[in-house]
Amino acid sequence: MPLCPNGHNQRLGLKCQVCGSPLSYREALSDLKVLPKVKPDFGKTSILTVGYPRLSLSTDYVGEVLSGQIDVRTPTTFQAASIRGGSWLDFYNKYLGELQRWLKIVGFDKASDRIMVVNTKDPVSVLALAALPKLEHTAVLALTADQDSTPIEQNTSYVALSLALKRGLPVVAFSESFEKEMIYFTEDRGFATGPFAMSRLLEPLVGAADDLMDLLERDLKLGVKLHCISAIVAGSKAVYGNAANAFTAQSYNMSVGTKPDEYRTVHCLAFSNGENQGEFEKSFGAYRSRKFKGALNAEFRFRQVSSPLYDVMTIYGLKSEGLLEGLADGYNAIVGSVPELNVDGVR
Amino acid sequence: MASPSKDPHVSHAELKIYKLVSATYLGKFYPEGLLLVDASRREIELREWVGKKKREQAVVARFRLEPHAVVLVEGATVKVHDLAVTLESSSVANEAASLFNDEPTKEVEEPKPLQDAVSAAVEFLKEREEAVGFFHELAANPRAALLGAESMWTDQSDPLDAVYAGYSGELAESLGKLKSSLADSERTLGPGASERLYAFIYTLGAIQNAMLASDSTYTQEIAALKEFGISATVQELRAPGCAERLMERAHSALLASANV
Repeated sequence: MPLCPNGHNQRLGLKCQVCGSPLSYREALSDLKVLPKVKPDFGKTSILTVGYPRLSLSTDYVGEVLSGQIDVRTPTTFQAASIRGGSWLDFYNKYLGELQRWLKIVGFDKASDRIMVVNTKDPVSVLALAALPKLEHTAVLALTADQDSTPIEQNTSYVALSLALKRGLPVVAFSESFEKEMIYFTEDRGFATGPFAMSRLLEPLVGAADDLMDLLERDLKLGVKLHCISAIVAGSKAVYGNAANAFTAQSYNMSVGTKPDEYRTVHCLAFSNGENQGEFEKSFGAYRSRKFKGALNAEFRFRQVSSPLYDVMTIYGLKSEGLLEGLADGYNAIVGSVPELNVDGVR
Repeated sequence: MASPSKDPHVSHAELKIYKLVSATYLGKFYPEGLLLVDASRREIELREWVGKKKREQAVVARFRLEPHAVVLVEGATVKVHDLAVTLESSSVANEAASLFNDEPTKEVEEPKPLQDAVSAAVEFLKEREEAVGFFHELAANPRAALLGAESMWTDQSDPLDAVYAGYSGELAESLGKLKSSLADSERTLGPGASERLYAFIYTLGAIQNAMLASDSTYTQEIAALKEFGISATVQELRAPGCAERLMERAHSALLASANV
């Protein structure tokens, strides 16, 4: 700021407001080489889809990483040009530095919470998980290969999942068959399947990202990295009767196939109008006692919504080995033919 | 009365001086005073009588008309910018207004050091405006702005820090040139005019900074501009190219204060 020869504090103007002396701006001119700091708002929750169709979510940021005909870089898209006959290792070797750079530029690390929706069968999935900087409050929703997938898909999925778990990222897994069968109906929007159903499932989770991260990170401290989920979206009393039935129905539709001894934790996120809170909490308690007695931790979180319909998501913490074992045959078959495609090929 | 006269403060100019019936400037009423019109420099000055016996003159406002400024005549009143002056008759008003219809007949020779200093200032402020525009965009749309400035990010630092450092470096270099030009010009212009130039450049920089504060009302900046004899609206201050335009508007005042 300009100087008054008598030392009075100044604002703009030609003369001192206190003593009327002419102000000097000679020294102050150097202030102009500095620009006021701007604090850009990167939003609270960022979503990044990887090898998965772009989701339609009303959140601060939805970006995508995919492969396509040509290289494309926009604030929301990182598209790597297809590599003929390319495996995950080719994309990893060619694009790792560039993707790391893009993620920094678009401030993926700047949001408070991050959710990556990763199709782990896609060759870019390994690239994206490897490029991700070490960040807290980041969860991976992973579409995984299953018994119906090809060995090369199982190999890619195995490497991507192993990488995510190795990097300490909490993973919520969805099998390919679960995703294909996912179908939700709401009166206002009709039927939603595939990526639309995934968007519908993610909507409440994104809205409750801080609760979701809290639960997943608490499980991480218990050594539980891998999860599966079951959900009722747009449920109502007319369809399910009481809340207990809603939990029972979920137990028949888990996002990955599991064995009873694999469960380590179980949590519930319920989104409903306030009057149902008590019933959901009580029913979740009964569900846990009946089916998950040995769970290391069980938490119930409730979010009040104005809609007469409710969403209930149950998140199950699992032992990590089970899912990877299911993919091991395909993984090993590929590594037997192409040794470089092993999980240690990723730094 | 319409009597040509020389103005002691502006020796190069041909002046016409008109006695006012009344005037209004920036909403304030002046019951008497003088209007000085320098057609060759397209400059207007409003003076009021001050002192106990109203024998001394004080300048109320002085500004240079831009090339396409609108000069209106309504009866005996001439209106231009924020000034409305009522003269003795409509013919006198028409005569005063007509002085602005012709191209300047005589170019006032402007001292080169002032030209150089003003050019350096405009150059610096344009560069700074571009930087401010970038950071304004950064606040509204950070991802697109950073992607657009990716070339500035060449190391492992945070991209935001790298872009700040990049713009600061460019501005520091440009400011160095400006300071050097101001120092050169001061030998010819004298300290008074130089101080005024420093102050005006700083004020324009403050206006640019205010653009980055979304809730700025520009109150302080508008008040400071008035001290330079310039009235401006918030919209004008927010418009692109504002610094360059204001520098042009301040030109005659800067020239008048030069020690040449």
